[in-house]
Amino acid sequence: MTVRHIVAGVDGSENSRRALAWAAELARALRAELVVVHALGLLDRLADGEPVPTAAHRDAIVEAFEHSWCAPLADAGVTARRMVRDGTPVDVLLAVAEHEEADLIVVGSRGIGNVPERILGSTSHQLAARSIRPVVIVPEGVGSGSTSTHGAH
Amino acid sequence: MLVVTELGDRDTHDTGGWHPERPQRLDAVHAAVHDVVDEEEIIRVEPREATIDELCRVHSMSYLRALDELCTAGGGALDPDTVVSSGSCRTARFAAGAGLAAIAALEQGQGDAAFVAVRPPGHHARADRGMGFCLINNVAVAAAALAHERERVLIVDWDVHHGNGTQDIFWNDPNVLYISTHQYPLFPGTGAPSETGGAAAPGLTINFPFPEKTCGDAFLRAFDEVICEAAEAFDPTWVLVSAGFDAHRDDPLAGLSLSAGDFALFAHRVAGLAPGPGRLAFFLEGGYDLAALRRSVAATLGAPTDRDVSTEAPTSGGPGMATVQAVKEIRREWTG
Repeated sequence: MTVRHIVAGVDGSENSRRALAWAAELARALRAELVVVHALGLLDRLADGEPVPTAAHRDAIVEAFEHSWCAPLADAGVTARRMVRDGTPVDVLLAVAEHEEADLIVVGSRGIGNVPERILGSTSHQLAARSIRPVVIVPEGVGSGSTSTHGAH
Repeated sequence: MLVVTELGDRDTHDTGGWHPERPQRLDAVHAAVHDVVDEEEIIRVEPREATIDELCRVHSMSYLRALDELCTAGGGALDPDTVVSSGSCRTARFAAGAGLAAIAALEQGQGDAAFVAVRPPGHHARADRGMGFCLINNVAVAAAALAHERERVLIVDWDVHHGNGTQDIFWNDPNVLYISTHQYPLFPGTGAPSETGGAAAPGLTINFPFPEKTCGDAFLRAFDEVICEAAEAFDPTWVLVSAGFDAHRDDPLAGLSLSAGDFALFAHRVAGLAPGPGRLAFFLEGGYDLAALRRSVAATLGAPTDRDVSTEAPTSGGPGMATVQAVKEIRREWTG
């Protein structure tokens, strides 16, 4: 099979930054296009990690997404598009993957939400359960870098 | 007389100190009720826990079990927005049952209208999962119970966020007309005018996705040129309102420009759609600025109590008329 389109979800967490770096390396190796997506909820996190009302901070969140959370794309040498969409992470990633006819979805194993996995499943596990497309869950510890992704903006 | 159902000390849904969906919201609503009516004018109805059968009309058993297990385990989060504590399940069951108790009181002729002052809110909760601060879909549980009794239910949802859960639940139900006014783009990203209902309920979902800074005049045009006509054609036997107040201009979670005075006008419109006394119930959804919430709830209660209590003038002059026109165009399929 050929992987031409990869969708990667980011949420500003360190783990999602590493997952994005992994996805960018894969996209470069396969010459695939990368679509990076952030789902805006009712609340989101800015530089200090504290939850803030998304609507009131929408512009700041979009700027953080563009310039900080997507930092691994800067020197990755890949063709990448960036999208911010309203909705829950699982719904948004599935919808974008469908629209883009993605061959692969890449997410970190645990984002900021810190959802208990044992009962309802984390975002990554829900995604894997509901997606009709291959999903790569990048575990903590994979990838380099230790710089906080909640960087200045 | 106004039927009021409040959770009181049954509210054990702890979202943490930082969360905007917090217990103090119900204190603001409690104060608003007393801003409008004296205690002797209130029929207080104790909430009860909704039964599993009542909940399963709109939610899957597997989701209810998972939610219960999460609470038993001490809580957690369904998603980055939606927090669950050990007491959340019980509170959510009482919140759903509060609506059922209020409707039972109205059926018994105890009042002209009801206000169900509960949390967590419900309209984002889908059949198989909670989201967006919502665990159990309170208005859907009530509407499903009424539909089960062969009633025809109009749900007007004026929360600033689209009620995706309610829409999904009644997508194919010919006994429920769901109408939402909401901001777009905004969470949850659904609620386009083209979403008009499933094959078994064509035209029974109506969505008005208003742009940021929309004022009350656009909402009133939606009521006067679309909503009232659609409601009259549907001929409801009950009117339920998903009454969120986060479309108020002071709310931190959204960007519409409504005032308390606008909610007063909306409440008069929906009261006029009810087929008679005792067939109108308001369900609290969102609203996160406590002062704006208090003013807006008080203004809303002016309609069923026949009082002018609004402290803020209605608003006008913003965008949003194009949204109404777009919905009218789509509605031509059903209105000719």
